[in-house]
Amino acid sequence: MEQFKIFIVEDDPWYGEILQYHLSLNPDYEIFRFTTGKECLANLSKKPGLISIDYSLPDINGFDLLKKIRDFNHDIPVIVISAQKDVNTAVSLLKEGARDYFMKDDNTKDLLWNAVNKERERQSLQKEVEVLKEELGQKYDFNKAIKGNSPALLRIFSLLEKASRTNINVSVTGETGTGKEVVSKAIHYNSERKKKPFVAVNMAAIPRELIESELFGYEKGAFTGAQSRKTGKFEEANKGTLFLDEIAELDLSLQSKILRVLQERELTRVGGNEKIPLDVRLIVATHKNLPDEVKKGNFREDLFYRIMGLPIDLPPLRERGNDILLLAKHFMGEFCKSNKMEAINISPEAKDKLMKYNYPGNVRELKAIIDLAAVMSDGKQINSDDIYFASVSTTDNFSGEEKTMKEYTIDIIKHFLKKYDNNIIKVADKLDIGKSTIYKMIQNKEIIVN
Amino acid sequence: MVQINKGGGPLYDLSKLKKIGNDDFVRKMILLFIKEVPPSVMLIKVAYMGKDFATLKYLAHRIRPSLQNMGISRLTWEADEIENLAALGKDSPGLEEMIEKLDQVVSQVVESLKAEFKL
Repeated sequence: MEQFKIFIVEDDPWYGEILQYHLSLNPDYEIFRFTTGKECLANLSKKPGLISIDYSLPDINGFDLLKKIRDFNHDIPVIVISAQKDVNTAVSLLKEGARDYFMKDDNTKDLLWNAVNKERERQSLQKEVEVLKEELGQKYDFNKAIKGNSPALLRIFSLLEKASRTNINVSVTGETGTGKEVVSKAIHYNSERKKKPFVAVNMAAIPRELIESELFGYEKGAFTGAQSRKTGKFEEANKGTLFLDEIAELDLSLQSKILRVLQERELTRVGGNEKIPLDVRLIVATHKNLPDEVKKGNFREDLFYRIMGLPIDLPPLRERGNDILLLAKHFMGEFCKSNKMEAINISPEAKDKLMKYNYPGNVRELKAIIDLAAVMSDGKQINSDDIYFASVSTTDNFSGEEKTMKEYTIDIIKHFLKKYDNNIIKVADKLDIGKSTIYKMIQNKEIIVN
Repeated sequence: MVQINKGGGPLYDLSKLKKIGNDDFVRKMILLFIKEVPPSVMLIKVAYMGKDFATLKYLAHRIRPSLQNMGISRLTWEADEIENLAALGKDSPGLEEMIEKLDQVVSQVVESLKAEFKL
């Protein structure tokens, strides 16, 4: 483990000795002692983790030395130790950026010890955050985040690269489960804003009466229950990316407010007066057709044009061909790894069954199907019987593969017979066909009734 | 270790230093005291004679921690007072006597330390 370098700048040899001895009790610390500001400045290239300076040095006062250190690198924490019982001096030093200010007395060495430990922990946490951010960025590398090589998806990759290269707003559309949030994160973590926040808000998940305060924040006392100031999502995402999912769910009054924020590039918290400048990259998503919503009067046209930016329409899984099997294999691998299972194959019949289904829930549904299949299997191979389609959509299997009109008719009648317990009179009524049509199919063994 | 001088009362008390560090550390600090404090006291006398009260104040401030950590309680008040009076920027009654006492006691302490630790 790399040693944590500490500079002690103290011209009093007695005091310097005590501080050095005390800090060197921790073998992880490497202590450098200097008696002048000049020596300290000459050694800054050693990259100290923390500098402790005496306010009254022979060649420079603590204030000037602090400034010079921060000019070199304002991230180096500096603690000033002084015999000055002067609150104004302490305040000035802290305002100038000193991390802390201690009086010289019997407790100083312990205070310094605690301050160094605290700083070391802070720097360690900061490094951990940087590493995690880096890993997150790698996780959202396009090819890792979005699996597939179908022509439909390759078109999307091209758009994602274009979106990542600039700050243009992006509007992502697609059926539920097509990966709108995954795509949005991939854009963010491949852009120049990747080290800044990515803030996601689902408009449909927030009660209408709370959306405004959630998005814009509020000042203390803005309304009953506002015990303290709260930062809104726009502010949280400043310098980064704000992802507004299900943007079409916003009511018109809030749409006006958002439009204003985007136009003025500033916001005011609920109950506040302060204008807060904003630099936010916006990505919006919806499963609805926004131009249609504009025509119906449910969505403001001016806001639509403001947020539209680069439109990315994600293809439904059923249009992605062999990506279904690629994704199935990927989800199987992930499931087995996280559940510490041996790898499970997918039989040709199971693959065939997977390819024929139309996935109204898209990628999310496929993952659920594969996870369940892995559980239901014998542990070595997924067979056709292990695949369960539990779609809640009434249009489930009918558009999964190409059939003749007669075959579709038979499928529809079978579906309704199953639904209405083989009540032929009811089914004929629902489908607005003669019951004799159904009886004829039964007679010709085109439909088997149990 | 507490050294009692002929006049009664401890000359110095190393218990504080022992709380900070081990025997090697204590010995190092004693050597530092012997090396640094007597010359500082001499400079205090020179500064006083030259009526350089700014330097006098600075030096008195400098030696205060060492006097405290060595437990030289007979001089704690004097060291503070020399610094406070020097801060006024002019000679004050009793200042010369306090500096004289500082010189005497420090000499006694140094002699005693050398004898005790065979330095």
